[in-house]
Amino acid sequence: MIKVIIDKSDLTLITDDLESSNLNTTNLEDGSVALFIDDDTYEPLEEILRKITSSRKQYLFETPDGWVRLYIKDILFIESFGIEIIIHTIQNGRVLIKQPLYQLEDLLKPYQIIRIGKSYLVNLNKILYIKPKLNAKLELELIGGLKIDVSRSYVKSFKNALGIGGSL
Amino acid sequence: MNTIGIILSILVGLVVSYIVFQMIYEYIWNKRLKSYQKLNNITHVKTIRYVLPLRRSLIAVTSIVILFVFIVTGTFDLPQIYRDKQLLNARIAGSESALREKLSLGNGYRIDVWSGIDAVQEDSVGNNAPSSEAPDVVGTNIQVDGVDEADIVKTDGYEIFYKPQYQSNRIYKFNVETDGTLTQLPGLEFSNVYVQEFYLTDDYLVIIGYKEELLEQYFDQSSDALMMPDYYFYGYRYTSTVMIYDRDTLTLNFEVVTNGDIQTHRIIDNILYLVLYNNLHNTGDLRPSFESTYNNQTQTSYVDYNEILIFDGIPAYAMTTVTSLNLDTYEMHHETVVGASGYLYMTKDAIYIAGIYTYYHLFGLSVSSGTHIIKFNLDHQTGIVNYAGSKLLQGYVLNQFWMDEYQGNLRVVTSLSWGNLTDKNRLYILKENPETDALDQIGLLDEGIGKPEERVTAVRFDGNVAYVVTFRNTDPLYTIDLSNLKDIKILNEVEEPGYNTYLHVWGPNHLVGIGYDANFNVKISVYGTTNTTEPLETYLISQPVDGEYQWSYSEALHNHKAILISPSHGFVAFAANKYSYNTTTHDYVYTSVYYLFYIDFEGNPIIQEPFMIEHETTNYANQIDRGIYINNIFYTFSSSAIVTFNGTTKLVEHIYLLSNPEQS
Repeated sequence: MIKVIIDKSDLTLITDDLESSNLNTTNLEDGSVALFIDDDTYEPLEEILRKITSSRKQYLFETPDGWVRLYIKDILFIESFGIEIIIHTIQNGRVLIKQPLYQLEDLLKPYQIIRIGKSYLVNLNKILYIKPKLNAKLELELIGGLKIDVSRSYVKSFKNALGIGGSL
Repeated sequence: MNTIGIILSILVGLVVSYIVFQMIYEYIWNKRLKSYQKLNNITHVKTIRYVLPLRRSLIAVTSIVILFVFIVTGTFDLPQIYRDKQLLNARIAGSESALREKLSLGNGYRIDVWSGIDAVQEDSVGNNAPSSEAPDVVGTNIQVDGVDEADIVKTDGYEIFYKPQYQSNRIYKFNVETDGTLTQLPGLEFSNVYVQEFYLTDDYLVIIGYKEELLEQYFDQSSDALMMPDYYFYGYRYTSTVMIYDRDTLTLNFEVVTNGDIQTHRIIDNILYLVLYNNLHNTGDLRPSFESTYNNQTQTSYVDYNEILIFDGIPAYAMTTVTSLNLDTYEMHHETVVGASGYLYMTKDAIYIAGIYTYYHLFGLSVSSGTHIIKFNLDHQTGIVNYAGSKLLQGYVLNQFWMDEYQGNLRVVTSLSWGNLTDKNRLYILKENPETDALDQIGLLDEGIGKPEERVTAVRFDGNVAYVVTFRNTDPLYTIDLSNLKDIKILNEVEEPGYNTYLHVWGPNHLVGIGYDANFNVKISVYGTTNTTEPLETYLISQPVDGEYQWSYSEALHNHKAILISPSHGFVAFAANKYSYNTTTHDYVYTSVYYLFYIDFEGNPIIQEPFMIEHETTNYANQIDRGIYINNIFYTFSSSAIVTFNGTTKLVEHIYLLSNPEQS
């Protein structure tokens, strides 16, 4: 039997998982939660821990004025505008950085941030709705109401990134 | 369906397909997204999307509804072909329901234009030079040579038939002896027929009239009950009828009764052309019907719905049927149009009907008169009448003389609209389109006919020249040159007090006009048509006399058939009623006088002092109706007598009293 204490700041991330996993939980006085794990419930715990790790992942980006630390989970999309690279985030708004887009693409691929156009990377986890357009592009609606397009040549890789097959 | 309809249907089809495809495609993509989110345990706040699907559905539904409406209303229907013509203006009714639908749209402000049965022209029943064989006759004043018009007195020089104006149940028959005296022969007397007018052909006496039926109720099959007729009039029903009598034996050969009202008619050779007007009832069969009786057998025939044409945009005031009836074989042909009714002008090859109606402009701010001209072509061999085309003109037409065909072109004069004094008088020239049912406008004069606010009162065409009279305070008579259709010019303008209602061409440069003088009494004037600003001479029927007031009126003012006229014989004659009041004796005198004017444009005066032929027993109910001319003798007719006047001795010769049961 293992006892795992989850910090209260991470609770919102894993509420659904807790409900569906039948883990024994105890609410502690400081607001955190204690999970009791045995061999049968090891798998759900793994998933919960992966989520928490991912959400706590931060990355250090170089800006013209120095360095900035951003949570990966905060990134909506990244845009290159001429020589400027702009990261659109939920918490920090627009952040101007110096790193080239192709480097960011390689760097952030493991975190479901993929390229959808010559000058765009998007965080797949922030997509609310997909709307196909007349010119065979896709319009993505992101959290916060922002809309960006998937170029024709990246539709296939976008589809692959969503991880499912299909002929469309 | 026409090309535009096909293109629009394809477009709507594409739009709808695109929207459906888009929705499926979108559904699949978001399904993928959801799988991805589920796989990665991503949860977002769910937003339900209403606007986009709603917008798409609205676009699709609206497109489909618009297309459906266009298709149902026939906007994209291919033009119908009727009698080898592409129909642009008319539509074939085809069924009772289509006709009823048109009628329901056409109800509204209703004008019944009663042209009655009028018409006359020069030297109708023969204008032959005197010879031992053919009598020299001047009869009904008809408009077009060879197109006979009915009247209440008809003669061929050998026999005279006469129906007094106000005794419509009898026709007198007289033999004209070689010395010009008359012998009365047995005539016709009816108990249930009112004779309106009749024709005299070589073989037949053709009577147009009304049959009177006592009809308090009738059996209606559809409701299986006795009904009160809906055209019930004091217990009597009057039905239009045509009766063909043998003119020698006065036996009835053929009779046709119709549910339509016979408006006007003409005879060319041995074919009678009738124009019928059918009132549009909400109940019963809408089709014009004809019940013909001969050899003691009765047959009823109807005009087929496929032979009834309707016009979009023209009010459905009346159903007008042109019927041809062969007087020898009794074969009938019909052509029916639904629209406004009006006046008939007929040449040897065509019938033109001018339907008059009034329409309100947007928001009812102003009102205009419209004239819908419909042309029918005639085939005299078969008697078939074919719809040829139609055209809507601005303004109104007042009688048949306002239309004239010359070298295949129809010329029409229209007067400024009632209720709209800023409107203009117009002269149109129209030509039938060989491919479609349009009458193409090839000429127009809409400037200079009349001063502002003047209406047209009389029109006469003579080849390439038109004479038009307009009136408000004075009477300008315009001579208009139509020889160049691109440049229609007013050549001359004559001004005088009063105005003419009838013009008669007296040789190339002279006119005779009959109309009202400045005091609205009857006058006759003679005109030169070039280089003159005044009438040459005018004769007033009511001459000013001290101590006396005078009024006069004549049927000739509105019925050209009341005029006996022959430029080749040099006379004009018509009856006029005079009323005079003596301010001293307080006597009030009424007389009906037949005026005979000899006119000679070379002479001085041009209008000679008229000969006045009076009938002794004239009173209000007994006016002089007509006069005819046979071999230099004038025969004048009233219900009480026939008075003959010798053109050589200029004296009254004989007075034949007619039995008048209503007076005895």
